[in-house]
Amino acid sequence: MIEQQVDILLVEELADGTKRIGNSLTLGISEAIAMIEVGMAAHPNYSIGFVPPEWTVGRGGRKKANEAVGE
Amino acid sequence: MAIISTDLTKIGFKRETTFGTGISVASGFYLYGRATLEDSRAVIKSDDIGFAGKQTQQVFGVNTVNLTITCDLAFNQCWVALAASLFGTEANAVEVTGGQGDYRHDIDLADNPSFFWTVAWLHEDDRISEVYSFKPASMTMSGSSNDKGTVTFAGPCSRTNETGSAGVANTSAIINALTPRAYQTGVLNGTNSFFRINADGGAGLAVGDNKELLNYSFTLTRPMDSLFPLRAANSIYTVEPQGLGDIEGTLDFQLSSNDEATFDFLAGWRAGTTYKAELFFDGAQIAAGVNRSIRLLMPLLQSNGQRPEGFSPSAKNQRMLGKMMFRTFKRSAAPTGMTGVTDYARLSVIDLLATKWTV
Repeated sequence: MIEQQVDILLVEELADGTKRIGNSLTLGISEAIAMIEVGMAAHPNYSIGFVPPEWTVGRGGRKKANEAVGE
Repeated sequence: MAIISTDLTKIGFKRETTFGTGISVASGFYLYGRATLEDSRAVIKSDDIGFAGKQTQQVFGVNTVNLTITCDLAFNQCWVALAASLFGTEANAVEVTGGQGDYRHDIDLADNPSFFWTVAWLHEDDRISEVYSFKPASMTMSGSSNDKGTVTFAGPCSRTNETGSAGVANTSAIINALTPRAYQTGVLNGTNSFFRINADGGAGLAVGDNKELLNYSFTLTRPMDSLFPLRAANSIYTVEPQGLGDIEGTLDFQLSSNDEATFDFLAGWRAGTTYKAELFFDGAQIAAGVNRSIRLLMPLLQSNGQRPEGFSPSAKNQRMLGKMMFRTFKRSAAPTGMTGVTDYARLSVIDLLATKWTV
């Protein structure tokens, strides 16, 4: 089963050490959640580090890596 | 009563909901910028013969009002509100870093937006002029490296009014009560600002796509028509102007040298190559969050047909610097790295405003 594809925004470290919201990236939801949790990316509609509830609700809390959609 | 200079005036504006109905700008925006008003009434004179060449009267016809507002491309300033009303679609502000007050505003192109503003300013310390229903129809954003940018909006309005006339909605007290937003000049330089361009069908824009930009100009124009139907006392004022013809977006820029390995203007023009581009202005950090920024994303660009300038030897011993006008288009799908960006351009700004600029 193919994992749900989602869009995230990359958090880029700038030359002066600050951060910016950069390019978007489309990837599997489990990898997207992992990247958000380590601060490498952000959901387009939420703050950095915040995994949208709709990505985890109804799935027994935090999604496990490689978990397929609809399970 | 007292004379004031332009430095001492204040310009306030606030969004209206009914075209042609001026409102109080109380709790609206305080504009750091310049405003130029054109306001003229058509003069109707007799074509009849019999006056021996000596007209005895004239009456006034339609009242045409156009406003131009120019602002520096500064961070956290309300030029973004005018840009959002021209583009037409503004997403809710998103706080990029929780609790730090760094809000991102994504502004996209709508089909036919209906945003208009009452604009009012002081011309004496106790008298004001006001303009009803300013509907931005065009925007030009331009600048050079190591300089502040400039953004200009122009568009038709419903009518004007001033202290002492019937129906005036504003007073000097209302305008004086407005407070400006914290200002930070945006200069296109520093470690983090950049201009990037590459093939629209290729990889996402990255550091390797940075170009040595000298200057740029981005325009967005929605042609609009004004109509003056018979409607009692308001007949001389236009009803809400609507889109007339296609939306036009253009980008032109100049790089530091003609080097086809960096960017090949001539091949791009001859082959009609399509590109995507990004311009990024970086500002100071907001608390412990991300920096203030202005970001312009263009998903699909192609030459407007005119051969690039800067490739002909027109004077002795001059540096040849290419420059080309591109048109922006709607792309069938967002290119890599620009999710959600398909129509002409997206303006994405990060500033301190927690709500939408178009409220």
